[in-house]
This record gives sequence, C-alpha cells and structure tokens, in this order.
Amino acid sequence: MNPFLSLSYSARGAILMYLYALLLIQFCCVLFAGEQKEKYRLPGRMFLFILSAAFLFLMRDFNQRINTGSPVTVHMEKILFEQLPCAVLFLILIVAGIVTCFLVCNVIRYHRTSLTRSSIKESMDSLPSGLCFSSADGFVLLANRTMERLCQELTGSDLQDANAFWKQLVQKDLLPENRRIVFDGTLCFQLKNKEIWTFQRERLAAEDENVFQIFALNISELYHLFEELEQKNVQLAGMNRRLKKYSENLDTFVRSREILDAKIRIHKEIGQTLFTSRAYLIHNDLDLSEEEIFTQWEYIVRLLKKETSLPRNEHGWAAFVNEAQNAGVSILTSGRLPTESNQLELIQLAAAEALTNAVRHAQADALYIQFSEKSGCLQMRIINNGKKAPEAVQEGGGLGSLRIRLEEAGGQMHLETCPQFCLSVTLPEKGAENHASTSIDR
Amino acid sequence: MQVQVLIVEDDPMTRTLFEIHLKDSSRYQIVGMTESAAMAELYCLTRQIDLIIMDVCTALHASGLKAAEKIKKNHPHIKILIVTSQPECDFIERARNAGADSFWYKEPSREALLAIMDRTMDGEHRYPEHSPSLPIGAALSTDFTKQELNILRELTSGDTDEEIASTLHLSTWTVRKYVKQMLEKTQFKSRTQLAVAARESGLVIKNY
Repeated sequence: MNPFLSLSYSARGAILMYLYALLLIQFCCVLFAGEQKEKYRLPGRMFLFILSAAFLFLMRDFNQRINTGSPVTVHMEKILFEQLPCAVLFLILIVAGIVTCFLVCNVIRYHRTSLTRSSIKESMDSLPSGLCFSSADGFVLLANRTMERLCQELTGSDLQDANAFWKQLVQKDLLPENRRIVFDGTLCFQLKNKEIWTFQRERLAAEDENVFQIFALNISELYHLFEELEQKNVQLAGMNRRLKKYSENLDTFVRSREILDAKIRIHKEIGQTLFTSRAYLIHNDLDLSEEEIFTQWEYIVRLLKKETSLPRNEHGWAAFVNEAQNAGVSILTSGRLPTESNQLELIQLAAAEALTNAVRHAQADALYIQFSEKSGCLQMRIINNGKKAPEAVQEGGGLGSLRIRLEEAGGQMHLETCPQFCLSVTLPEKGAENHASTSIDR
Repeated sequence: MQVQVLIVEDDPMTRTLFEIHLKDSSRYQIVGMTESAAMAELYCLTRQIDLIIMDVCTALHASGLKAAEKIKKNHPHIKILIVTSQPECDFIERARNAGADSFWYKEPSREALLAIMDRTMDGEHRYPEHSPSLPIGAALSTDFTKQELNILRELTSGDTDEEIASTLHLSTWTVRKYVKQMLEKTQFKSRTQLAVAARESGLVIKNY
C-alpha cells in the first residue's frame, strides 16, 4: 500500500481542506453545545483536539515540503506520513467524518429538545393570554407578544415599564377608543376591536428577588354570556312582576270570569226566547202557547233585574240518564256521583261510550254503574244486562279515544270480559286537569 | 217520506234556531237532539236517522269529527253535515277525511241551512274552498304553513317546546325555529301572546 507521502500535493491539499472543514464544524459544535451535559460535550472536545493535532501535523509537513523540500523529522509524524498506508488514512478520515456528523446531529437534537431561553419565549408568545414578568422597579424581565399587543392597543406605546403600564390601567389613562368595564370587581377593558380583557397583578417570590406578574385574560365570551344572562334576568323580573300582579288580582279575574260566564248564559237564554217569540209571532205554529212565551220573558226580565238567578247547570248527568231512557236503556247507579266538573265530564264520557257499546254489541236495555272511592281515587264500574261479550275485546276508535282522555287526566281504564263485559275507570282525586276551562266561546 | 234528522249541538240558542228553521220544512223532521257527539251513535242505533247535523265542538269536549268518522264507518247510509262557527284551519280537511258529506259554517239564515241540507241529501258534497282568513297580529292565518299551524295548536295548551316536539315527532330545535318564524310574522313579543291570539281567534283548537 502506498503511504501518505506517495500522494500528490493536490491530494494532500484536499485532505488538508477536508480536515480543516471537519475542524471548523467541530469547533462550531463545541461552541453551540450550550448547556449539554458534560458526558455529551467531552467526546466533542476530545475529537476536536485530535482533529486539531492531525491538522497541525499535516500543515507542518505540507509547509516544510513546500518550503524546504525535505520531509518532517519528528518520529510521530514520520510514522504518520511515511509508513501509514493511504487506505488506512482514508479510513480514518471517513470515520472522522462520520463522528463529526454524529456530533453535529447530537448538537442539533439537543437544541431541538432542550429548554432554552428562546424556547421559553416562544412558548409564552404562543399563549392566548397576556403575560408580563417585571422586577420591583417595573423593568420588564419577560413579556409575551399578546401582552405587548395589549399594551400597544391600550396605551399607544410599547411595554417598557410594567409599573407605569399598570398605573395607566388602574387610573384608566388609556386611549379613548378603549372602555373600562365593570365586571365581577376586576379590572376589565373593552378594546377597539370589541375584545374584552381582564388584568391581574401579583407578586411572585423568586429566590431573593421580587418579581411581579401581570396577567391578562380574554373574557369576551364570558362577558357576552353575562350580558345575555342579565337580559334574561331583566325579562324574568318583568315576568315575575306580572305574575305577582296576576296572583294579587286573581280573585278579581275569577269573579270577572264567573260574571262573564253568567252573562253568556243569560245571552243564550235571551237568544232562545227571541227565536221562539219570533217564530211564534211570524208563523204562529210553535208548540208553545202565548202564556208560555210570556213566562219565558218574565223569567228573562227577572234575571236582568237580578231578582232571580240562573239555575245550576245540571244538564250533564241528568241529561245523559234522560237520553239513555229515550233510547230504551235504563241507567241504574249506586254510590255517590262526583261533583267536581272535570271528573263528572270524564265519567259521562265513559258512561256514554259504555252505553253505545252495550246497545250495539250486547243489545242491553239496562246499564249498572257503581261509584266508589278508594285511596282518594274515584272508581266507576259499568256493566250491562245484555249478551255476553266475546273473550277478546278490541278497542276501537271510541274506547281508544276514551282511554287517551282518561290517561291524560291521570286516570286509568280497564276492560274485563269474564264473566261479563265490564268497563272500569279510575280517576285521581282532582281529575281532568288537562281539559279544565277550555270552553269554546260561541 | 220525511228525512229523519238528528241535531248534535251543545249551544242551546243554535239548537233552538235549528229547531225553528226545520219545523216549517216539509222535507225534514227532527227525531232527536243531543248536546254531545258522544251520544250521537246511540241515536243512530236506536232510531232511524237519515241526516245528522253535527257540530264539531260539543259537550263533554266530544269531537263531532271523530263521531262522524265512527258513524260513517258503522252506518254508511247516514248523511252527515258538519257545522261549526269556528274558523279552525284543520276542520275542513279532517271532515273530508272522516267521510262527512258536507261542511257548513253556521249562519242564522234559514234558507242557507235548508239549501245545504237539500244538496247533501241529493248526494252532493258541499265543502267551503278554505277556512276563513283571520288576522293574527301583523299576519293573516293564510300566511302560516301547515306545520306552523300544527305547532301553534300545541302551543295554545301551554306545552313546552320539548313537549310539542315529542307530540309532533319533531326535534326541539325545529319547534323553536317555527315558533320564532311565527313570532316574526305576527310581530308578537312572546309565545304567550301568540298562543292567546291564536286561541281567541279560533284559528287552532286542540282536543277536537
């Protein structure tokens, strides 16, 4: 193998340049090693030393040969240049290159993953909130971009003195387009762009030094929700006032309603009497006599003069029994009929449905209705004296609608077919609240 | 042979008026009068009825439309004339679906009543083209869509948006959207105002 000396000057120069480049790179690595641990920095320094020595030797030899033409005389250098084969030398150079690359990657990785001052600043700048650390005399130690922007927008100047900035905030010495807002006892401002920020200042104890922190938080959304809540509270307060007024006047309202209902009934009575009178006068063929019509009018006049009152509206159950009898079906009841109007209405509906079905399916001529009370609930059982019902009874439109009405009122319906058809209804103490007071005005 | 008529009407004044109008007629004979549609079928089972003058909103909160549907199913030969004074937007369509023969908005005129009865008995099906148009706030009843009217109907009973959504198989968001649209159309300030106006006008009536 040819030793290093067999190489031409230009080849030796190229090797020199290569070593020089590696040296520079390694020097940079040592320079930028930063706060790396010693065990990572030491190999780099050692390698730098070796490279430097190798470069020095080569430079000396190169220089001597160029200037004097004679080889190097130092023993180590003789071995290096006269006996070391080129291949080995080239191998060493390649290894040196690889090691340098490795050390460079190490330094780069270190800088990427380690926490440095710039990384702290970078992460602070990425915060959505504003942050500023200052010393006791107001000197800004560290401030993020958001805080700098806020200072610029509020005061029109850069953040140079944190104490002065805070003083301006407290004294509201700000640019006119910004507005102080009262919210939850904190220092809040609305900027020109409608953002709302709250500011807080506190002292941090750090070793022997007092550090002050100013923190700014964007509460725009929170504040808008607060405003919405305030509006709703105002509306609710208004509703509350109206409700209070309503409850205070409830008696009056109820009385007025009763008076109106009475007037409507009187109006209907008068209307009926007018129709019959007109028919009598024009056609004279009604079943009523003149005396009966006069009696009707006397009654109307007494009503209007309040000398008499309208009869209780008892058409409901009595009318039902009457109609059933006219249809050839007797209604026999036991127990106490409910008096509460809504319960009575549902009871009548159930009885009407049972009556219709008894006539249609069972050809009955009597309906037995039993009323009872159990655990505060009204119970009604209806059976008839007609034909036996089939085993399975399908609920049609009538029974289906009845069930819906009863269940809406908190009641229940039950059908039995054995030994005979029986319709059972249970209603709570206060029945039919859903259908209360929904009379249609004619 | 006279047409046997059953009158289902809970207003005594209207009942008396019908009675007076038909008394003079040679074609019609009243064989029964009842306040509630719940009793109507009983009359059909126990008497010969040819024509029923059926009010929609009757006593015991019984629906004349539901009774009409049941009677037409069980007694298809009986003619049914639905009568009402309520401008409820849905009654005409529901009467048609129930199979009622004719539909008439009540008026005091004897001639009008007899005319509609004659045409019905002659096999005609007389229906108004549409329900009356009513002012509701700044809007007219014809400005509302079918879905809005359905929601308005439920609103009149004081149900919450969630309850209305459950009844009509809609989402709560959809119900709120429709209510908001109606408030914008009528320029009412609250849903209560809207519900009261709808209720008082008779545009929507629930439970019949």
